[in-house]
Amino acid sequence: MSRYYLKETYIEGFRGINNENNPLILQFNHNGVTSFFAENGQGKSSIYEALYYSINNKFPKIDKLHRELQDYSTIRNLFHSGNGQIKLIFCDDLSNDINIDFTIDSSGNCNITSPNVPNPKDFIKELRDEHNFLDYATFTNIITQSPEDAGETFSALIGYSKFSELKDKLDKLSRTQNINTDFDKKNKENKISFKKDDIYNRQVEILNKLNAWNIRYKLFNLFIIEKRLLKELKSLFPFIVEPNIYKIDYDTLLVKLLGNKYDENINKQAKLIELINQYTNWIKQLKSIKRTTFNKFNSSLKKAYRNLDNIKDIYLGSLYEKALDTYNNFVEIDKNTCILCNTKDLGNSKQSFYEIINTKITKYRKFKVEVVGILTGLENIVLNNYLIDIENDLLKENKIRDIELIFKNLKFSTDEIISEDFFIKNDLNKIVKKYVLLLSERLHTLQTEYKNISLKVPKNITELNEKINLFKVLKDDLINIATDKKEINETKEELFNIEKWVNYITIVKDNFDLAYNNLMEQISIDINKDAQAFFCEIMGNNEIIPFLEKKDTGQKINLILKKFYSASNKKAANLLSESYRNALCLSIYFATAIRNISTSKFIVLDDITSSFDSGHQIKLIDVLENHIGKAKRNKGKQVILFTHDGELKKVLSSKNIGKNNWQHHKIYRTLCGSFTSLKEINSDHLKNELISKLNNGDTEIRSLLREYFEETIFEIIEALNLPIPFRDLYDLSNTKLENLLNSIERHLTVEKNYSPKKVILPIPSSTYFRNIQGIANKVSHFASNSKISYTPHFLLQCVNDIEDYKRKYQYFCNCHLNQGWVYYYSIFRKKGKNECKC
Amino acid sequence: MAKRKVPTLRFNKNKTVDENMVIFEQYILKIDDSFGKILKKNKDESVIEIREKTKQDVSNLIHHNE
Repeated sequence: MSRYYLKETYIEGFRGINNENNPLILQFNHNGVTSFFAENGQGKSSIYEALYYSINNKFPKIDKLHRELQDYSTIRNLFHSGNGQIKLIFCDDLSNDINIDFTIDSSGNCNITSPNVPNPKDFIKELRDEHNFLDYATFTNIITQSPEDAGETFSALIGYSKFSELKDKLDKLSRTQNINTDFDKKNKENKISFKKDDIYNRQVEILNKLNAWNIRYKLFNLFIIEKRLLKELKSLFPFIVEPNIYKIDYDTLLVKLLGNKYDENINKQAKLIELINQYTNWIKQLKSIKRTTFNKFNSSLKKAYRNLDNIKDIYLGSLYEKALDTYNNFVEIDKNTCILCNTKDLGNSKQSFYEIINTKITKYRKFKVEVVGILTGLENIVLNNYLIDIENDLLKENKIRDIELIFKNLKFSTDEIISEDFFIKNDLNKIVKKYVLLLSERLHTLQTEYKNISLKVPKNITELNEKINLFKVLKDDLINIATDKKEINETKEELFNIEKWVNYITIVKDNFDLAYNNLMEQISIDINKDAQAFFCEIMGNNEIIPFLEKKDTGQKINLILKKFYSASNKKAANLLSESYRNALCLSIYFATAIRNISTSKFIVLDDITSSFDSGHQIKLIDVLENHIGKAKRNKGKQVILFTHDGELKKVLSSKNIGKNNWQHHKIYRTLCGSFTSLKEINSDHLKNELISKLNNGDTEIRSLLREYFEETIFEIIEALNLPIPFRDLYDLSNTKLENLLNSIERHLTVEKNYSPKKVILPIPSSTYFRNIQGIANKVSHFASNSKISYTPHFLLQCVNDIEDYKRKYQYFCNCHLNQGWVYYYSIFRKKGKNECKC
Repeated sequence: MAKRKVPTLRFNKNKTVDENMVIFEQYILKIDDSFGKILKKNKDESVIEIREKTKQDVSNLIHHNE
């Protein structure tokens, strides 16, 4: 596996960094630590955000805002004319460079290209790691979270967020309720039970019918019954040679037996017997349907409807499914824009449009599952009770087919919308009652007809006709029993396989939980060793020993204090102060970062030192240098640190001297324009640049001259430690230079005239101040007005005058060692000290 | 039906996340090849999708077997 370090970045037109045509270039030390110090407003956060945004393709500062406040167009610098540009140069262990370019348009969308890799997006995706970035806002989470969430955070920190997600998925898949719903288990079990009852009833009926025929069996045995029926048939019709009762043609038996004696009346009688038998069965079947059955469907449907927030959701349900798929598959689609009509800014104050759909779809799915369950139940009732057959028989000429219409609508499309009052509008109990009445009437007519026809047929023939019909009925019953048994076996097979899946997924889930828990426990033991050492080194307190305790259940993690002075095993969050909490969280983060094996080998830290005093800040810096930075630890990381802590300024500067494992930079914002630079603005550098330009006859030095004057004044103010008001220092008006000179003069005059201390600084005369203010006025106008032009000679004179003004506050050292060095005066003589600052 | 002894799943802390994921994939196939293939195929689906897709695949497998 290749491991990548951050080698260099170019930033232009991103957030607070404008730098038009002059990108800010930062080089990172991939052998150890690179630190950046910047006071507020210099562009430090913009650099951190540029790195975060380019690697994670997210902008949490805006993402976390309320939807109405979000403005992604601010990702690109507002005053930059073209697209924002970020270039990241990575290098691997073999020093191969990979350039990735990020272009940010005015809407804040990012386009990634690379001259080195074919799929730069995939390359960046590979680099993404929980450890890449850490800022003050997020690193303290783990201590305040619930044990379950802390476990999830811990999983992410050790790089196992994929496993944490998998655990959730397996939980969901193995949940009994979900399996029952997904595989319609209850309905299948009901179907088996219903069919079993049906078979039992048929068997009892067959035994009763045989009993009436003086054939007595205590138990139902299909083989014996089939044999007996065949025997009986053969005794009545000796010409039967067919050994199978199911293949005998019953309608021709009497014709064959009677030959020429078989007439129309016998045929009619046979048909009437069959019809009477069928009608009797149908009536019996319909009467067996309980009134409460359809009432239950009604109440279940109403319950299903209660899942929906809005009745319209049943019409939009399938559309929501498609919309959700589209949003998930095309991440570039704004989650507040309708994919159909492109209407923007949908959603409400709490949820995005996508989230609203997501909530609705969950409810719609629940509704759909329940409705499908009702329809399946209804389908079973209709089919098992021959309702369609009965209706077709009864309403031959009638065009209105109540059941058929209902059933057609429901059976063939479960997506069809079934209204909440469906079972009230279509009162199935009424329909069934109506059909029972019609069937009874029809049966009565048939019975009368049968009586009349029987008078015309000899008694023994009538008996034979009745017996043949009984054989037919018994044959049908036996076939139905066989069909039901087959269906039961199929459903049982299905349930068996479902059960197999249940067992499988439960085993996988249980074993995964166990193995994952063990893994987390083992890793937490390793992490504990390092975390305890780092915590102790940062806080310098051996009396407090933190401990990451892995709980047996779920992925819970507890942050406890194994030792807290004389107490033990106390929960850390309750006892630790802010700085101790932060030290503990950072220790865990560092310990997990150096343990984590991933493609990216860099960590970027922003403002992690803020909550510590200077002593502890230095210790934290030492931990970074000695334990985390790659140079001192083989498995370590490349560390990039951003800080604004003034206390650390000197410490970090000293790290830069003579060390390969630490590079330190200070970030500056130039005085004119909004450039952010690593190059320190120094009045001597600016003077040399000005003189060089003027010597070449270049007089277009407007802003540079002003910048030089301003920087000179700032240097004097800083060196003399003058209390100049903030508003004067950051004044944006044209008279800023004059105002600052005025402030300096005023302060020095006050000190000279009224201070009890002895002033040693030779304060320039007021005439000199008027003179220099006149120059400041000219420089300001020259910078702001392009119509004004001066000769190089005059401008050179201005530069010399400004330099002379600075010299008024400086002296040459006459001491033995530093003779000739230039220092700024102090205003007052310091007690017990030499006059010379050296 | 005699109960088959279920193999134990063990991750290795010295292996990478991806290597441990491979151990898991081998394990799910070892317990049941057909179900394992379904789970392996769907395990990277989102938390919302996995149930629906797995249900569909398991149903297809069951009916195909019949």
